[in-house]
Amino acid sequence: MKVKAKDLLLDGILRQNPVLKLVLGTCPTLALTTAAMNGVGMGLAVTFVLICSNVIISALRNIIPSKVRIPAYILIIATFVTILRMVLNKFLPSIATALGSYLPLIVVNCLILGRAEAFASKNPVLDSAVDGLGMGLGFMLSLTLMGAFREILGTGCIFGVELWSFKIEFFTHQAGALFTFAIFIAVFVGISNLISSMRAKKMIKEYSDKNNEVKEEIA
Amino acid sequence: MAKKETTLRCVTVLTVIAVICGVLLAVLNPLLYVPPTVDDLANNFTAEGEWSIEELNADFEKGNGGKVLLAGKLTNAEGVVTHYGLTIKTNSDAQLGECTYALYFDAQTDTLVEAKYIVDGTTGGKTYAAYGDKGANFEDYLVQITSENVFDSYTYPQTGATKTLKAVNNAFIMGARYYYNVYVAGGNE
Amino acid sequence: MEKLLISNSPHIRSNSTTKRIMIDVCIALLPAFLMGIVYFGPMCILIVGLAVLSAVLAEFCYKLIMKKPMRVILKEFDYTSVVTGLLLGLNLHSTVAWYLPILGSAFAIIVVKMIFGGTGKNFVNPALAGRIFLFISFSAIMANGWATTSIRNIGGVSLTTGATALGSVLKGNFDKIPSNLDLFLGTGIAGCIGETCKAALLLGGIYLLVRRVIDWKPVIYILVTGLWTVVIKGFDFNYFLPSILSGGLFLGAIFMATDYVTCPNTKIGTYIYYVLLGVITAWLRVRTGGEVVSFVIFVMNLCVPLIDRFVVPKPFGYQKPEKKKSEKGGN
Repeated sequence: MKVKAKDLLLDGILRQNPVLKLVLGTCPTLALTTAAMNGVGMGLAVTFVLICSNVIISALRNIIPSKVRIPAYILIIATFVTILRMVLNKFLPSIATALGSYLPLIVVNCLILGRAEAFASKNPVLDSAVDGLGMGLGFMLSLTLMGAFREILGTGCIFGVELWSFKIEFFTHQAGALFTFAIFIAVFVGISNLISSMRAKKMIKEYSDKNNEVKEEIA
Repeated sequence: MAKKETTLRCVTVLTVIAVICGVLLAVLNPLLYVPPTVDDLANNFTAEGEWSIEELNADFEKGNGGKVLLAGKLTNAEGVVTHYGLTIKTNSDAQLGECTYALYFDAQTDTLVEAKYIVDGTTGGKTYAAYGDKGANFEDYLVQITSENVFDSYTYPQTGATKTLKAVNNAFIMGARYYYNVYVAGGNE
Repeated sequence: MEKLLISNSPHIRSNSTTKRIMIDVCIALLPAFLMGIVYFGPMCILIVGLAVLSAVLAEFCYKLIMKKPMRVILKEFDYTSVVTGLLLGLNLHSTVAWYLPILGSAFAIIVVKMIFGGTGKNFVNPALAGRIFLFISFSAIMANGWATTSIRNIGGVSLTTGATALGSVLKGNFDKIPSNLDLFLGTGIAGCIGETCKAALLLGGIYLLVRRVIDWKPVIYILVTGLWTVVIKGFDFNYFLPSILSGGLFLGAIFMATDYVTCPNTKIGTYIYYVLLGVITAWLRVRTGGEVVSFVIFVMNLCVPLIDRFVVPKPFGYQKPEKKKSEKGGN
């Protein structure tokens, strides 16, 4: 069975969105969505680690014995996170400070470990890389959208640029994070249900049309 | 026999991965090293003047664990050294991560005039800032550094027998030792 | 008997419908509202009106979006949203910005009530959640600019600007506390529109008691709060009346803690609920030095399922099994 790269990408970004559908990596989602920029930074960081670890784990999938796979994954992921931390500290210290302790905590982010376990350990290198990219982009997209939502309502800014002075501080608090998360999941599930039901209707219609044609032909 | 082999293989694979990762990081570490700058000292202190670096990463491990990242001096417009500043990184203590502190000494009176935290130890979920001004910002307490042990039996700063405070205390103890040895005792020679 | 009607119980219906109860609550809130207008001026009408209007509108909009026909919505309309809006409006002070009641009502109705399934399904009192939402969101507006009633106080002690009576009570500044009569009538006291005049609230409470909408049990809450404050303050009974009469305790105890949906189902559970409410309120008031009634009721509302789980109701007609041990022992 050959999976297309486009399907893999779309899976990560939309159909299997790590935050809104798989509900992975909730800890940074709740903590870092106070601003849209945090979402972009965290998303890029996770994407980098995810692609690298997916590639390496996928390449080593036949070498790593299944008994010790989790420690091996953790070792690999931790290495990449450390490298990422050092790079960010050197070249982008402002983002490194904004992400704070959530940057080293990427090591235990269940999104990365989950993809390593569920996908990279069973699929070829290229597919794993695409999966990592898709999942990372999906993570970044949902975090950025949630961050923008909370930033606009909570502080009246977007990406640090002030739009208006009206602010509902509720959204900058933890309760606001949970509330926003819930709303986003609800909207996401609502839209995806709508799309799938529309698709189902379309399929039924096509099927019945075909049936009618056949019937007409028989008649 | 087969079981032994798999165990052996597990250990080998893990070791190999660990060694490769370690080597990779060891190679990258010096390449990506960020030297501390005087910004940390300058940003947390109000006095006028220009900061310059005295010593970097002083190998001064005499205290209770930690490192003097940076020692700097503040020179005012007339060219007189008014203050010395130290940024001290203390080792992590049990559940709490390492913290970085900036200590400021008055050069004339050898007195600790201010202390500010720069990096919180947050891995334990608590921040030093959460303990309020007492542990975090050492204000209104002028302590003259008359000996290198001036903070050893000091009850301040403390907010209880917490591990957090142990790390913060270490910063003060180390700062006093470094300052006494380098500037007070060393200067008298 | 050609037609035999088969229906589920209940077969006997009383007049006590949700609609009637809610209208009763509205009537009971009117004295406090009127006193609010007398004390704080006509702005109160605008604020409370906006709160009620937006609460009702929010309910209608939500149901319209849920594709319910207008006829059904009108039939289902049971005045709960009116009560929510009224309570929320009375919980704001008279100088808040115009958009606060609208946002608060919308949050209370849509998020707390409708999303969880409408009347009878809300997990906390919607008006309370709306107030807390506003309190967290607009802390600057909600905590400052308290207006003091236009009528001078009788006792002679006038409040300094910005100080609430409760704050002075908790600090023990007895020379700065208005007399108990002032606290009871709400004259010369800063506060929300509906909370200052305890006499009007008590009147409403008595009306509800007579109409059997509520029972006497909220009194436990009020008394326990006062007594526990006395205990914390070292059995100083000077604290008893002022701590009861200041702040929003009456409004909370009579109209918010008594919400049917968020009260325990059992008698013992209800006692536990009110006693805990009182103890926590007094304790947190002393600890924080501010008004906490709304937050405490909110938290206790969330604890109600827990109370219901542990306090098992006695089944109807249950009799204690007779002790057989003594018989055996006799033999």
